Amino acid sequence: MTDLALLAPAATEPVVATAPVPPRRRSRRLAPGLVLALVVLALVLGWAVLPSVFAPADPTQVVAADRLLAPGPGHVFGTDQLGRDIYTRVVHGAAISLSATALAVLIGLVVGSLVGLLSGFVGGRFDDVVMRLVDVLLAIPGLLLAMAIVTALGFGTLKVALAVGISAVAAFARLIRADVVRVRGSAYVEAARVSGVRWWTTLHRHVLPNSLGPVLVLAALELGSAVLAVSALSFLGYGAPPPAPEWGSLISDGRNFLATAWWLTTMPGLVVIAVVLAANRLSRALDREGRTR
Amino acid sequence: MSLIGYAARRLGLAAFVVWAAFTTTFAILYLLPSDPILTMLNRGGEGANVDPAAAAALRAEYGFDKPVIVQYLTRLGAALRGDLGRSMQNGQPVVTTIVDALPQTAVLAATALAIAVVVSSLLASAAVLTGSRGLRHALLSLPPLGAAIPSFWLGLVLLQVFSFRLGWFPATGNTGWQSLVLPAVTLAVPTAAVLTQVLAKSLGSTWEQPFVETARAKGLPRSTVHLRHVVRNGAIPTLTMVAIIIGNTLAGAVVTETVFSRVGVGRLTQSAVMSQDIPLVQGVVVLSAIVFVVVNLAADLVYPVVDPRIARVPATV
Repeated sequence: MTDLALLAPAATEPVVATAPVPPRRRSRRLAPGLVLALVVLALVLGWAVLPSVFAPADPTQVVAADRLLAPGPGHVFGTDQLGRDIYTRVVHGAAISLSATALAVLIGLVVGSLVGLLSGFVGGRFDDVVMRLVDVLLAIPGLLLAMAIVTALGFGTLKVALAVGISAVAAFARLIRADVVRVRGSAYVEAARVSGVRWWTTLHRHVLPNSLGPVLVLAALELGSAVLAVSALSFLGYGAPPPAPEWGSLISDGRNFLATAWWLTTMPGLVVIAVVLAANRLSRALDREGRTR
Repeated sequence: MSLIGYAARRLGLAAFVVWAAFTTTFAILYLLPSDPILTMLNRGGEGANVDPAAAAALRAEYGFDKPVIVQYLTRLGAALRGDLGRSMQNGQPVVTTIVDALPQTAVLAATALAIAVVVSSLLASAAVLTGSRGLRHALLSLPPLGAAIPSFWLGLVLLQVFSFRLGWFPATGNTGWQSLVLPAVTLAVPTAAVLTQVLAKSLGSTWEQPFVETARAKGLPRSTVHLRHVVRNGAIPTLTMVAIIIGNTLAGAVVTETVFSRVGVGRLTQSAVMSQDIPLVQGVVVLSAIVFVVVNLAADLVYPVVDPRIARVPATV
């Protein structure tokens, strides 16, 4: 026992040496598109964390005199049928919409990674069964699966986030599992095993760090689709109850004023598009980063 | 393996996927900690004082008082005979409710797919064939934008401009082709975004194949090479995705039909979830699984037509 424990660190040294060392990359400037994406994400994150800094007014404050004002100097995004400032509502809604999105991605990431990691690492029959189940979940369109889960759980922002997260588990599991199988067959994992490193040490020291890259890419991509899914579900009426300025419900609220007040739906929608585009751009940059390593 | 063996294996796999979808939704809908009976009796949202006797009677009627495994087997047996239970909203059989609404959604989805195929072929071809880098860049930046637009928002914006501002198309309803235009375009955009990306990539790599060079060396014009040789080869990767694309179109119909107040499976689903009508929701999920496997089987039949080399594969597997 003690022999093994003493041997293990010594034996892993050459393994560390063979692991790909990132070459010194030329210092290069970030692409302007990526900078813009990061600015958008940072701004929206700021809205979520400190809404009152960006929009000091009360999002539910009704000003009868200011009903349905078009976007202008006083109200950048205009006002709604009750005279509430839409920009303020979008800023304050960021916390709800983004935390739901983050929770969804986190659930997909953590649960999916655990399932994929176990499945790929254990292998054999277990792997077969889990992957068939993942195949089936991937065959059901994500939005329908999320709607089925919402049916069972009930309504509200938290439940919508849970549903979107659960329906993203299969994609993460599939990706991680493929990566784990690839890494597991590599020479340095074999070397670690031969030299007597315990399996969970191999898992977190070698397998996990090496399969993390593609997962982060998928997580960033999933961030974009989770924003869309969460806002779609709250648009359909399964999200937070009315006064909450959730982005999907803001867009939905404007439906009755399509003919007269275009800004009620258009403005929050543009914000959603900007966030999704930014998340996708980030995902692409991470992907390229991972490939050039 | 013989062709019959191959066909049997494929059919078995298809049946497995549908069964697994049924079982998964059963697990999600019937086992998660929510009580469908209380939901049904509590439809108005108010009134925590549900009559226990009524609840027990309903529970017995739907079989919720029996052990889970008995419930599951009963439902599975019924499902095999084409009975997915009755809608909790109006007591109509789930299967006939869905089948009645299906044609409207099928027409919408087919129109949307047709638009998506035409638009994405044109965009991808133009991006591959153009000599201008700037134009290619502009064309290829369209799909990511299309994929980032929430389709419910796009539908509302189209309504705003083309129904209310310009008055070209009706805002709601199912009558005539005019009412089909805006929903079909809304539904087509995300599909076209995905298709264009896949097509542009595979057309681009097909153009670098040696046989394309041969065809060009023979003196064929670029347009002929593109239409006769490249498109036929480059379209194959999109065939593998067709089941997923059609499935997503079905899911997209939920949003689109809600925005445009159209009758169809999508809006049926939206209201079924709203009133937690469990049998109906399960029926829609099973339908999507059936669509998935049928489309996949159909795609397998189409492969050999598009690419004769594939026809030999089943016999050798």
